[in-house]
Parts: sequence; C-alpha cells; structure tokens
Amino acid sequence: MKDSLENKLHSLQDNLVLSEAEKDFHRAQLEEVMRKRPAAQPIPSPFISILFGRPQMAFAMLALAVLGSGGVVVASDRAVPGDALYAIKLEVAEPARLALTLDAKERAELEVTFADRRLKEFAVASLRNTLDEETADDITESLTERIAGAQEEIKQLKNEGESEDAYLAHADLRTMLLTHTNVLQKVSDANPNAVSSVAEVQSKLSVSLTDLAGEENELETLVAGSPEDTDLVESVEESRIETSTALASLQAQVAESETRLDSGDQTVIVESMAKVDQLIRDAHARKEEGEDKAALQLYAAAEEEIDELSVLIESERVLEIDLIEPSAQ
Amino acid sequence: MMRKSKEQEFITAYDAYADALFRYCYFKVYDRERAKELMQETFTKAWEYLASGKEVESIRPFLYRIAHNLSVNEVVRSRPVSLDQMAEMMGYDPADTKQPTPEQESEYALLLAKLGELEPVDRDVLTMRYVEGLPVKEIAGILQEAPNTVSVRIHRALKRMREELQLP
Repeated sequence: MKDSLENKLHSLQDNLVLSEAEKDFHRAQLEEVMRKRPAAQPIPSPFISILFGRPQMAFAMLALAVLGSGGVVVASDRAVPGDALYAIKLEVAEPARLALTLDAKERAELEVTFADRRLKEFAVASLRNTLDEETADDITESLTERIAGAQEEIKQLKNEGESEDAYLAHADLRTMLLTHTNVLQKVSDANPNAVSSVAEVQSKLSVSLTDLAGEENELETLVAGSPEDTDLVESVEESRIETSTALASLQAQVAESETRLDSGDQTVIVESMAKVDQLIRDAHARKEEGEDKAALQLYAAAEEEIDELSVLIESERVLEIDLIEPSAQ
Repeated sequence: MMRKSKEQEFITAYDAYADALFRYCYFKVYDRERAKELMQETFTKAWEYLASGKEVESIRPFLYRIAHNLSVNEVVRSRPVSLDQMAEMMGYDPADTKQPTPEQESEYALLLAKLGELEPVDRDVLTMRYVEGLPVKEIAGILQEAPNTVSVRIHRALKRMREELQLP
C-alpha cells in the first residue's frame, strides 16, 4: 500500500458510487414524487373545479387565470410588507394554494405555515417602524383568517375520525402561537412605538390559545380512545419521519446560525436539543414496544420543542434582538 | 419561474449529492440495496419538507441530517461479510472503463471491512472527512458536536485504522 490512508479513503469516493443507470432510476422516482407534490401547485384543468365543486377552487382558478400563467402569484411568495406584490401574496397566492390543496391535513399545515409567516412579518415591520395602518390591518386580517382556517381544518380532521392528525395539527398551531406571543413581547419591549399594535395582535393570539386549550383535553381523549389499527401505526410512522425531518432542518439551521449565536443561546440550544433527543429516543422505544399512542405523544412533544426553537432562532436572526432565553424554553 | 427553479435546484442537489448520500447510507448499513433505498427516502423526505413551504438555508447538511435520522434505527449487518462480497457490494459501473484491478479491488474491500469495524460515530467522521472531503466544521454541524470533539475522533479513528492495516 503506497498511498497514505487518507488518500486510500478518498479513493473510495470514485469506487463506491451509483451507476448511471441507478442514478437515473432514482432521479426518475424523485421526479415522480415532485410531480405529485409540486412546491407550488400547477394550474389544473378547469374541469377539476367542476369535479370537486368547491367555491374556493373556482376562486383559485379565476385568480390564476386573471394573473396569466401564475408567475406573478408565485413571484409574490417572497414579498414582504411594503412590497408591491405583498397584497397579491395575502389575497391571492396563499388562498389559491390553500384552495388547490385537497388534503385536510396538508391544508392545516399550510394554514399554520402562513399564520407563522404573518407573525414574523408583523414582528419585523413593528420592530423597524415600517408598519403603516393599512398594512397592519391587512396582516391582522390575514392572520385571523389563517388561524381560523387552521382551527377549521383541525375540526374537519376530528370530524372525519382522523384524531391523530387533528391532535398533531393542534399541537403545531398551539406551539407556533405561543412562541410568537413571547417573540412579540420582546418586540414590544424593544420598541415602545409598537406597544399598542403588538398588544392588539397578542390579544388575538391569546383568544386563539384559549380556544385551543379548551380543545386539548378533548383531542387527547379522542387519541387515547382511538382504535389500535393500521391508521394509528401509519400516523406514528409519519410522525417519526416528520419529527426526524424537522430535527434535520433545525440542526442545519443551528449550524448555519452558529456564528450569530452567543454562548447563552448556544447553552439553551444544546439543552433543548438534548431534550428533543431524549423525547425521540423515548418515542422510538415506545414504538418498538408497540405503545403507539404514547409514541405519538412523544413525537408530538419533540416536534413542539423543535418548532419553538426554530421560530426563536429564525426570529432572532431577522429581528436582531435576543430571544433565546432559558425561561423561554 | 420561481417554482420551476426550486424544483430544478432540488434536482441539481440530487445530481450533486446522490452519490455522497448513498455512500453515507452505505456506511450506516453496509448493504448496497438498503443504502440506495435510504438515499431515495432522504431526498423524498427533503422534498416533501421543502414543498410544504418551509425553507432550508443550506441543503447539504440538511440532507445529511435526514439520512442520519432515517438510518438511526437501521441495524448494521452483523454477520461476517467476505472480501469478495464486499467488493461486489461496491457495484462498479459496467460502462466505466476505469475499472479497478483485482489488487485494488481487494484493497478497497479490506478498507471497507476495517471501516465497518469502527464505532459508528468514528466511521461517520472519517468517511465524511476523507471520503467526502467535508470540512470539520460542517461535520460538527451535521453531528451536533463541537469541532474539537470531531477532530479528536478523526485523529483516534485514523490511528486505529493505521494499526489495523499496518500502515505507518
């Protein structure tokens, strides 16, 4: 063996590879997945709206038709308050995407994602004093709609007997609202000009959180009483993968943010990650023992912790104020 | 069109990282077919996450973390694998004209076998550092360990491999 060990190891890169045929095969499978679940829904045939008969769908079709190929709508996705396309994002792009999403669980996830966006946009604009009255009204109106939409989807999931999905969506929404309530408090503390507008939004969040608290026991009871069937097993497996993916995203986010985080932040993050790690290990163990309901609750708890930390890190990056504190965890 | 570019970007990421992710999964399970399935699942889960409207700042560590988490429950084959089987698992492309000689093939198989005897985390750091050429800092980010800890692991694993392979 003439080469150094390091060179020999590196040579594995050229020798442990996928063949072109294997790569093509897996790329084709991936493209099929992407075709079935595009990042932004393609414009379907007008016949679909007739088939499904949903008024929201008709609205989405009309909106996309008026705006041509949908390029403006898609481009509005990154618009922020003050941008010309921001109103299109709130009033057309997001409602259209929701209307084109047929699965209640996916719609619930989207509603939470959009509500989360609104709260981040509101926090940034409030802190920087760039929020005019009209935009503030637009944001709060959209926020109210998105939270109500998420609650409606949770109700629908519950009524359809999908109590595990309803429980997980409920946990997502609650964590997101709770975390943003704390973030907004920091914004209010940092900018006295924003006190009243922040208080108004916080009161809306407080009402929603009270509603959610009232539903929590009911959902827990429903999950506890649901049959130990294949649906439950599938929900637990989906939850395992979702938690795992969310954790991967958080870990990448932490790695990216490392230079921005002070030592206090890093300590909190390490502790929080250890907690997540333990919750996931416990969930895996329960799953292996066939205790699917307990596993589901542990995965949900892990995801709540991940979501909270993720929102705090992202908000701290954007707002440039210290948000990560032991008390917030 | 932003939608197209997002999808194209993801396919570009697949083309850039499919082999590396396949190898990463391979070193987790030492089973070529299972490694391909895990690689496929990694990209599928990553896409589902991105398609739901969420953002990821840097795709490579994100993909590695998904692969890591997906393989957390995988059990490495405990039964002994012969060097011939090991060479077969490497799966050379028949279209590739730069096929290794039988000597090289045997050497690679021995290398794989010795890597397989390391602690999983030591194997992780060694393969990410030297097979893939990732910087220590990025490895530390992926594994959620301090860069110093990763450096120590690399040093220790290299030493053990040199002893096993009787290299200077």
